[in-house]
Amino acid sequence: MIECDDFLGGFHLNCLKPPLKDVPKSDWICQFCVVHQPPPLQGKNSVKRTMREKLLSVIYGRLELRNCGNNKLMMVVMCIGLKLTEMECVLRHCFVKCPMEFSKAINDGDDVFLCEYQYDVHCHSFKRLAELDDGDSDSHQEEEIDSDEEESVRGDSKSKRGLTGANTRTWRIFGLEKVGTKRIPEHVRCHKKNELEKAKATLLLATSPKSLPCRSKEMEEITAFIKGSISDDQCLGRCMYIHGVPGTGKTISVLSVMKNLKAEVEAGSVSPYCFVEINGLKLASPENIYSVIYEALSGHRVRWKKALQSLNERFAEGKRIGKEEGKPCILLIDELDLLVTRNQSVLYNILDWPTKPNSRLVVLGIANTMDLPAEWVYRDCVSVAAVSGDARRALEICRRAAEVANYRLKKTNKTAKSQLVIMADVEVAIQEMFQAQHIQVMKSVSKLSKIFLTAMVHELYKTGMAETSFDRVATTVCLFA
Amino acid sequence: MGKEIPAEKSLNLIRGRLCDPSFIFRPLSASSDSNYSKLKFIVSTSITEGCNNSILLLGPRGSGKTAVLDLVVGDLLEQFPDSVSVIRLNGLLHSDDNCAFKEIARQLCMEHHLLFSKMASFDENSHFIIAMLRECGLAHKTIIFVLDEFDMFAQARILISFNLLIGKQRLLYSLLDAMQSVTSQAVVIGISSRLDADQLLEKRVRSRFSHRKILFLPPSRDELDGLLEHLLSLPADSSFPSGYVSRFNDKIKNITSDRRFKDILKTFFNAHSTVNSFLKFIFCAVSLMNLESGLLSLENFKAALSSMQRQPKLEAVRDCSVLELYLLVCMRRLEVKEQSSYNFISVMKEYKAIHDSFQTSDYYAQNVCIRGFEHLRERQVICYAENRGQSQTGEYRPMKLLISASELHQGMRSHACCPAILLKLLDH
Repeated sequence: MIECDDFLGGFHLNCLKPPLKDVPKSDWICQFCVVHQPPPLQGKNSVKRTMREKLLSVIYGRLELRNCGNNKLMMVVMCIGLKLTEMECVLRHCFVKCPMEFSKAINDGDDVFLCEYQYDVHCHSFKRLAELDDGDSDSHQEEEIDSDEEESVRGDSKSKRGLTGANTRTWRIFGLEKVGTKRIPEHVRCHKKNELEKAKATLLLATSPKSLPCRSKEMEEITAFIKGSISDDQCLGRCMYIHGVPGTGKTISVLSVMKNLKAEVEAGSVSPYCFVEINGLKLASPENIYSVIYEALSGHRVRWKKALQSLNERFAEGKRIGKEEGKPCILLIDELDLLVTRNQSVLYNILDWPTKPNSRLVVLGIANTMDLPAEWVYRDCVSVAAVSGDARRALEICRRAAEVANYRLKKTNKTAKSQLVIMADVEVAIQEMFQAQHIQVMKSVSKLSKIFLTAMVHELYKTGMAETSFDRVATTVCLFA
Repeated sequence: MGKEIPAEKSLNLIRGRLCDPSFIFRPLSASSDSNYSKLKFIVSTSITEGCNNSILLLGPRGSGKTAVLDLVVGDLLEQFPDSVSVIRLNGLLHSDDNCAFKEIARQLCMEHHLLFSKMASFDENSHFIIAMLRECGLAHKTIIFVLDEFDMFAQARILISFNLLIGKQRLLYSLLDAMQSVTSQAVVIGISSRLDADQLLEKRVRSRFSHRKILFLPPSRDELDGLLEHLLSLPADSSFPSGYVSRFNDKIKNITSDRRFKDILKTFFNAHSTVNSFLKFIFCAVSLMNLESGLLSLENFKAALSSMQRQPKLEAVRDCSVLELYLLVCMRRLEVKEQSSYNFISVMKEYKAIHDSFQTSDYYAQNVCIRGFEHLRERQVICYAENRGQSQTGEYRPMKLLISASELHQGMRSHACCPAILLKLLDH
């Protein structure tokens, strides 16, 4: 190897033009320094360069120090680097860092690259990181700013992207595992459960049974409806409205139908679809539903007006969003009655889109009320009613009865062979949970309060009106006392 | 500084005990049937079995709901140091959903030493909370949400003009809904003084709420007697002079077994039933302790009872001058004549009419009467009927009485020198 005395770069003897056989005894200046020109930079239309040329250009590039803003000096690799598509500028081991670490890595050499994209698992695409931060600032503008102090903070927070709080969106994508909590495997934390506790565990509202009893007919109907909609070649949009009192298993039926369908998609018997689940009560405002749907379909987060525009194009005109492959979209809207706005535009749009041709949209709405206006329901809708009692209530009663029995047995320290929940426990549970507490309170209250209540009842009977003034009750109390 | 008088020390000790809720509620919670043990059983089984639960603590104000809850939470934090974290919200402060979510996120960040960003939006906060619930559920950590003034959360009004619904109860719905997923471990404890707090919930939220309620009733007489002994007996400490403690405790025993003391207590409990009011009564009595002798006496308790039975309005009427009584009677007569609003000028007309028909000796000029009015207004026996109309001078503004007819009657009867004619005028 030989070193140029000007800039101290090294060359292989064989790589020089013309190749040298020995190291010259005097000072040797490489041909580039002689000419005082940097090696010509190759443009986009260059032929494939040899390794040597690339190396030279990298070395020269190293000398370019650029003063970019904020008084930071960055070493710019002026090679094919910045316009690069792929791996041509990677010559040896290099480091790829996220924005936070990149800003700290100034002195680590020119092998450090900034990664601007991140893979989002849910929408199977790469998203620019800057876009995620922009999403924040959009939503900031939607919020009301109450004080001046908050406005100045907002200006600051936009500039320091590196420090975002744990509750913001960016942190959510980086993962909350940094919380430091570790997963404790299931078997470690289960102490030996006695029979009653096992029963209680299965009665939890959260544990989903392997198969939903008593809802098989409804589930079949829903499955047939969905399959019919997505397997047509020209998928016509349809909507279905599911209603019933709370606790009758509407949401859980639909979710288990979707689970079964997902298994079938993976098995290959049903064509793939895109499933979006929305809960009306969890939206900040009814218009946000547009941005949620758009985000689920395309992976990008935009403000709702833009989302509405794009969705209109997608559903009304059949244009595709992003890299979508034309899959039919199934939209599940829980708590549909909360999307009511003053001019009812949101609900109108949602229920209107399936009726357009080429929309490929299936809407399943779940609500409690049976009295949504008829104009919404007539649009090609199928309703499924469920009128039986609240299943959650029943489960809770059983669970509480099991708890009461457990407590009773623990108190008396009995280790009965069969730990049964007897009817007395169930009655105690029902009484505790659903009996009005007023009677118990009235029994234990002070004498003056009892006299006061009696005086009010007396007034009620005397005047026949349920309302009276304090003055009159007070005089009656004085009469009694 | 010198030696502290034992009287002062004992006074400080007892007053300190009266202000410490855990000292008071521990003996009340000792039995296994008490609310303390029930609450502790429910929450500790939720922690050990890793399931979700929601409970409501109901009871009149001052019955010790928050105190018992604090006792339970303190015990659980000792028993399970790493698996419990507590988030506290108050309905008076955080009834707005945005505010509530922000506060929950802030407290969660503080507990787990994460950075909190004030600028996160509502969506971000709710996603964060659900993600945290999931993570903590996987790590077998229970989060206890304490919602004070629960009825305020249920009644929160959303002031968004395009939204037709009032009171979405979004916070309660999100919390209770998140608890229905398997991996979260949370206990929601609501505290309310409205007995029908769970009827205020919307049907969706009520369906997800497990209807466990614990009612806080006033304690029985035996429990209160025991509490009294526990509070007032001095410990056999070496910091007190030797004979003092035994003398003090003997005096207490004498007082409590006295029949007159039992009568005092009975009169007290006719009107008050909660633990809080009882404590106020004892505090008042103890503060009247004679510092020279350093011992409590029956008179202290009697004085405390009469101080709790004071009637400020009555005393105000009793202190009025005769002219002011005349003015009050005139106002009352105007009210009886169904004149819905009256002002100073009309009262003066009525006053003149009385003077003309009955030839009373007390007739004063207008400016003296104005002074009488001002005095009555300061004592808050009368006031202006509306707050607006500031441009009108005081004489033309409508006024109203702040005491009822019976209070006026009673006050005049017990007045030192009320002329008989006034009583007659009031009755007509």
